[in-house]
Amino acid sequence: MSTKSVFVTVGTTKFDELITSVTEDCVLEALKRKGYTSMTIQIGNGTFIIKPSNIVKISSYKFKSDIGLDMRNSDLVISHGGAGSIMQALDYGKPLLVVVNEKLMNNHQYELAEKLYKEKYLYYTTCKNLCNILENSDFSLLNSIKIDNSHKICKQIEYFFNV
Amino acid sequence: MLFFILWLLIPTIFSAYFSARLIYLIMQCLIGNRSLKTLRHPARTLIVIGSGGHTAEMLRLMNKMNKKKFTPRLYLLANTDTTSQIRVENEECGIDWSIVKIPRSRYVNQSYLTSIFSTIYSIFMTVPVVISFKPDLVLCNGPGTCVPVCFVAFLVKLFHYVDTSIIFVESICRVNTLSLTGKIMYFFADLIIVQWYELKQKYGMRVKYLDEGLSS
Repeated sequence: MSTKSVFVTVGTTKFDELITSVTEDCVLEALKRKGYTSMTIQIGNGTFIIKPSNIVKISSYKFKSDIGLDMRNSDLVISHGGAGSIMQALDYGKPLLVVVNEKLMNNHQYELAEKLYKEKYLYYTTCKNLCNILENSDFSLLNSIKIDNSHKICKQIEYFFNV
Repeated sequence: MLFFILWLLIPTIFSAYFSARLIYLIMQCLIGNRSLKTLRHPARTLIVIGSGGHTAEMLRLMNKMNKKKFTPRLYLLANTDTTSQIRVENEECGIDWSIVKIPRSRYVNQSYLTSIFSTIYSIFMTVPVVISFKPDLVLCNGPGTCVPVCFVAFLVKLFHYVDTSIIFVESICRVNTLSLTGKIMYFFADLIIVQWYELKQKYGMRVKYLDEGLSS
C-alpha cells in the first residue's frame, strides 16, 4: 500500500478558510481515493483546532523556521497564493494546487496563480471548489519548472553598471 | 544694499537650480535615456530587505550576484523583522557586509494618522545611514518599506552628494500590473526590472524585461 502524503501551507498569513475546507470529509475522501494517506498542515496565524479524522491521518503545526523539509517529503502541496510558497513548491518539483484567498483586498495573488496555471505548472482554485478540483484534476499532467530569474536580473544590473 | 540683494538672490538661485535638477532627474528616469555608468571600483550596494516572500526573492538574487563587483553590501531591514535577519545571516556567504535596522514605517493595524509620523521618523533614521554609507546602488524589490529609503537616496542624488542609482526589481507575483511601490518607483528608479513580458508590454520602455537588450 502506498503512503503518499499531502502538505498544506498557509505561509505567514491567516487563512482559516483553507484549513476548514481542506479538512472537510469530501476533500479527505477525494484525497484518499487518489492514494494519499497522511496530511501535514501548517496553519500559521490561524485559530483553527483540527479534528482528528479517520479517513486521512492529519498532523499540524503553526510555524517552522524551515518548511522545506516537509514540502520535500510530501507528494502533493496545497498552498495559499503567496509567491514564496508557490516558488518553493515549484523548486522542489512538487505537484501543486494553489487555493486563492478570495477575501483578500484587491487580490493580486490571482495574477501569478492564473499565469502559471495557463502554462500548466500548477492548478488553482478557491476554497469552495477545492473538493471538485481534487476529484477532477490529474496532477501527473502538470509540467515541472524551476522559475529562477536571478541570473538574468544580475546580468541586467551588471550591464547597467558596466562592471 | 548689496547684502540685501544677495540675501534675496542666493536662495532664489539655489531653489531654482534644485527644482530644475529635480525635474531633470525625474525626466531622465521617465524617458530612460540615462547613460550607462562606468564604475572604476566595486559598487557600494545598499540592499533593502522587505519581508516574507520579498526577502526570499531578494536573497535568491543576492546569491547569484557577483560579490566582488558589489561590495561592500549593507542590508537595511525593519527592526521588527527578526526572521529576515536570521535569513540574511544564513544566506550571505561573502565578506564585507553588514546589517542595519531602521524603525518600521508602519506596523500592522497602525492607524493612518500615526503612521504618517512614524514614516517621517523612519525617513529621518534612514538619512544618516545613507549619508555615511554613500551607496552607488540602492537595490530594492518592495514592499512599501523601500520607498523612504529610495526617497532619501534620491535626495542625496539631487544634492550632488553621491551619484546613487536606484534599481527596483518588481516581484515575480506581479504579472499584469506594477505594485503600488512599483508605481511610485516609476518616477524615481533609474532602472525597473520586471519578470513577466505582460508588464513589459504595458509599461514599455520604462521597464526592462529580465535580460532584455543584452547581447549574450
